Amino acid sequence: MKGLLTKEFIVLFKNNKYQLFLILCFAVLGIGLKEIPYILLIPVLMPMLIVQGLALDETSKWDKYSICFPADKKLIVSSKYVMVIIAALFSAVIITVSAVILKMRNAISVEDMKMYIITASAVSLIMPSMVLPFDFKFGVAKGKVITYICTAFLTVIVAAIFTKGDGPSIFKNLTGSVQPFLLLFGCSAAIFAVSWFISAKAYESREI
Amino acid sequence: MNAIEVKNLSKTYNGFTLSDVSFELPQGCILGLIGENGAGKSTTIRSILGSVKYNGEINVLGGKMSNDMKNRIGVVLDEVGFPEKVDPRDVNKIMKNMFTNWDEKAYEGYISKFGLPEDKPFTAFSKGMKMKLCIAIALSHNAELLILDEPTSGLDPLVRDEIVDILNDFTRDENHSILISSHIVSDLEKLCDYIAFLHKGHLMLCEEKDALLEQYVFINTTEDKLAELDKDAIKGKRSGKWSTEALVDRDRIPSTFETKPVTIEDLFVFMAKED
Repeated sequence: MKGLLTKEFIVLFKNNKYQLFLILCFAVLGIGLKEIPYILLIPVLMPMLIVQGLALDETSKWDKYSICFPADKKLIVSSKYVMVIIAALFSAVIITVSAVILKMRNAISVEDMKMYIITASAVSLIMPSMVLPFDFKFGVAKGKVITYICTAFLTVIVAAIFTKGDGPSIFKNLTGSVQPFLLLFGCSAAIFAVSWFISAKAYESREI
Repeated sequence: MNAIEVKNLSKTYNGFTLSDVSFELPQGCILGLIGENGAGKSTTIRSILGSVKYNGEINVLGGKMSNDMKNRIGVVLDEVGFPEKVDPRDVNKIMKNMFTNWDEKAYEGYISKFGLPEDKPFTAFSKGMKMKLCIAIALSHNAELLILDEPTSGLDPLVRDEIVDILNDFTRDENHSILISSHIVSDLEKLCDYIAFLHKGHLMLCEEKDALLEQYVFINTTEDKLAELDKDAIKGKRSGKWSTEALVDRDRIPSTFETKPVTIEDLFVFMAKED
């Protein structure tokens, strides 16, 4: 695992210098303009850099070459998920620091700050959880197509719920209460764990 | 003890079947897996490495393939894959944490011996350099067994010769064994103690190289005289305008025939064509 993580870190920093710089720019922009949405892009972008690494593994044929090393497929999958956790923690740290600064500048309340941190952490786990099982099962090219179809399908369902139901008022009622967001984080952590399990099984059954 | 034991290995893909392949690689020896492209060499090697599902039984260094076992095996595949910006120094950092028995000094020694630039990204490497890097990795964790899939394909003769020398050095230790596949038969002829012929997914033979070269010979004769010989003695033939050249089993022909020695390449080509 240590060797795989070393490789992930080397590839992450060598291949994504500009992306990492841009991510930090979003934090600076968000703080400067007192606009939290800029900062909330970080938990979306950061873990996706790890997911993008899977495509790099395929194009460089590392996925085939890695059978030479003492690392089975389960371990390879786990290294990606551990990297997603590390990326999510990194995003959470940036968001926490940004939120504290924004709070000091009276741009947000303490409750908002907590809500943003928890929601961002949940988002940073959910996004890769949706993508990785398909990528591990079908390969990145096919996996992406299936992910897009599933995402479109989910979007339609969520949109239907919000247009038929009273979505905005749900959010209004949630303001000021942290528990629902903790529940959201709990759900996303559960989805992440299930995704990890499915990816490991899918990759083990795939012949590379 | 055998370094590798393969028993009744079978594997089916769309349009290809590897059927009932069995062979053994005794410890301290080099076995060359010869076959045309698509004969099943890579499938056999991938089955040994456990990266594909198969029917049959495979034992490596006395046990089943596992992560621990891979610490004792050096593997070189025909395609070396490192992400493009990784350089040999990064490879050292990765492998140090990958193999429990990684020998940093040995790796640095090989990198310098092979003349590989330490700070050049992998993407800037030529195919020969990539292969040398891969061989350096395979040789730098005190492996007892090397499994090499087409390590010399696509390389120029000079680099190929260099690689053959390196592999010869590796087997100076009597506990070191090599399984090497290639369709460049001349490389294997220089290197191997045992030869296994794979053709269209079937193992045609697996024998000691010297015994094969002793057993089979060429004769130049006529079709009529050839027809008088035991049919099982003839392994292949090439008919010309004036005479017929046949590959025959030396023990099954009369000693009156004038014979010419064969090479492993001749043997493979004749046998594969006859099939």
